[in-house]
Amino acid sequence: MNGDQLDRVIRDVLHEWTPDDPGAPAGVADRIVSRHRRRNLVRAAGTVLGVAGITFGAVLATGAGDGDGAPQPASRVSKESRLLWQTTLPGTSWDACTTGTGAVYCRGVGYDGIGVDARTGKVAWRQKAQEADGDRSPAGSLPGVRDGVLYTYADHKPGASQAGTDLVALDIDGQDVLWKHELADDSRNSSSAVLFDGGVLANSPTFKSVVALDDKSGEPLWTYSWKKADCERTAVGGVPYLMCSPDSDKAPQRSTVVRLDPETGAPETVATVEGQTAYIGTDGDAVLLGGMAGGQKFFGDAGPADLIRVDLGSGKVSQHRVDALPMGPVADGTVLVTGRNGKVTAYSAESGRRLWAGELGLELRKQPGDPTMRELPSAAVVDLDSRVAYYLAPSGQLVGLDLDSGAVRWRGAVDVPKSPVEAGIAPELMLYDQGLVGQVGGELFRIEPKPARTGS
Amino acid sequence: MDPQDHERFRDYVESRWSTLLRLANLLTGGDRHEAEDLVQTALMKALSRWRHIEDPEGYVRKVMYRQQISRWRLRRPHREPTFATPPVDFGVADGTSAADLRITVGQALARLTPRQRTMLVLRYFEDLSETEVAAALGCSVGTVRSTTHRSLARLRRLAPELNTSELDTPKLDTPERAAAVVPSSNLPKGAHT
Repeated sequence: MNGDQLDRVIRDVLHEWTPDDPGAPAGVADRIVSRHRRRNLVRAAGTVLGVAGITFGAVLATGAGDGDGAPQPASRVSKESRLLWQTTLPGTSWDACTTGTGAVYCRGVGYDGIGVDARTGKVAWRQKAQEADGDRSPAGSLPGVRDGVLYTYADHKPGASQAGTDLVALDIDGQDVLWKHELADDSRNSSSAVLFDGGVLANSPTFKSVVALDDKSGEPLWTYSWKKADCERTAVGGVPYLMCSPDSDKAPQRSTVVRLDPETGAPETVATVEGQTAYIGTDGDAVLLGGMAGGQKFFGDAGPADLIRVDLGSGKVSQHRVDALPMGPVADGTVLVTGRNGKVTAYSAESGRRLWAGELGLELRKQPGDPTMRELPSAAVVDLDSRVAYYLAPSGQLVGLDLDSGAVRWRGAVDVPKSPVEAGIAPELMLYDQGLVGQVGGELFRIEPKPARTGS
Repeated sequence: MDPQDHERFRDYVESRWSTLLRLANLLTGGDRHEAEDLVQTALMKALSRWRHIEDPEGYVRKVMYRQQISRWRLRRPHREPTFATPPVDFGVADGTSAADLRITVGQALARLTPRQRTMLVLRYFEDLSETEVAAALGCSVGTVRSTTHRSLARLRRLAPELNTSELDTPKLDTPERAAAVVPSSNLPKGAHT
């Protein structure tokens, strides 16, 4: 068969290869649209309270009134779940995981990357670290996965006392290192390398600069640097942004949100806010910042705070007083803040209003000899389809809270080996295909919770 | 997103779902769940930028192409298609050998890697030029050529019948075939990424 004949056969097969029932599932479009509509309704409520420019919330949101504060009475709590698999990872310590299509990827001491088949839990491949000596910098997160490439971290000078950190592009198919780029420091957090449309924004070569790297070749595309500020980095809609706060008392006391052109790196100031701020997260097309409002010296100090919302499209800033700095994951207009005592408080990302507060009810052991230190639960992950926020404890206990009320809708547990208390170390929980993937120490598991329906 | 945008999105999804799912089936090699997941993922991405998208079809398709080649590509055990199957009645009167060949080729297509299959789907189903495929996937024309070449070579290995010169090839320009072809003028041009 010659080339033309082959072409014709392939075309023919492809065009005749049709699904049996290609009709749209009932309401699939509405389901997608309604999720956005819910979020927009929350936004609209916040807009009504605001005026142009910086607007301070009229009410100190302490949880008073209109049903705020206490979670609504818990409906039936489901304990139903299906544990799809549980795997003990090789190596001694794992510090960050992420999910991709069909796989879970982790890195830790001894391995710069490992791929686990999400269907079976089997370790599919592993990329050993060079000169793993146990003193390597842990990673708070993995930059991500895109186009068959895992972006991870590795020591720049393996075995050296100050090894430094490389951002590494690892081809998933062959586990080949496609390229690597030395970062400014060993932070290895969610800001250290950010995927955006067209590249990877890496904190390099200094702490006060970023370089955009071609995600295929690792070649620098452009750089951007700043002075007298510390800038967090994120990408919203594929576009990189910097959230900058003054780095000292001598610096101009204002914070800025800066958009960087993905093609050229050209900066554009989206908004300016008086004083120091801390980056909280993003809510749709808005960035959330926190500011100290009670004379605190450090962001970790207790006291009132301002929740600052910067609309990235219009540059509009709205600001609302809250009783504490609402640092936590943001999901569909709600900021979920977990205290050290295992208490969760939800704030509206629009108005700063405290929506509810609830107890996780997870076992969080205290550090022997130092009762002020205790284990931490994972950060919340939220399934917006069921509107449940899930948490994982180092003990393997899991809980699911209703995103809208705080009521417990699900509890579960996975058997994990007993381990000494590691205060300040949180397990990791990730959403995967309407279920959860969790990592506790060297244990990785996938579970499908079946939370109680609301009102049941 | 205002109500008009909502309506536009809803209309788009309901009118184009079948077409998108068909494309997704080809891209995923006939895996029903992956195909639906691929379409929904692309629609979710489109929704978040809906107001700024001038060519929704082009945008969604491009997201699907890129999403598919970025999907997990471990060498896992081959799974037979669970959803799309080559039709028994091919609609041409040239005997069973052609129908058998199409079944074999269909099964071989399902066994290609996502990147290989995506390349062939774009070239032979979407009728994109090499330059258009390169733009859609964000790679060079040279990569398109080499991947296509490797894909065809692997297809020949998986379906040795393709190397048999005596086999009759099906007639293509039947009305059914012509109707099924996506006009090149409708193909994505300058879609967002």
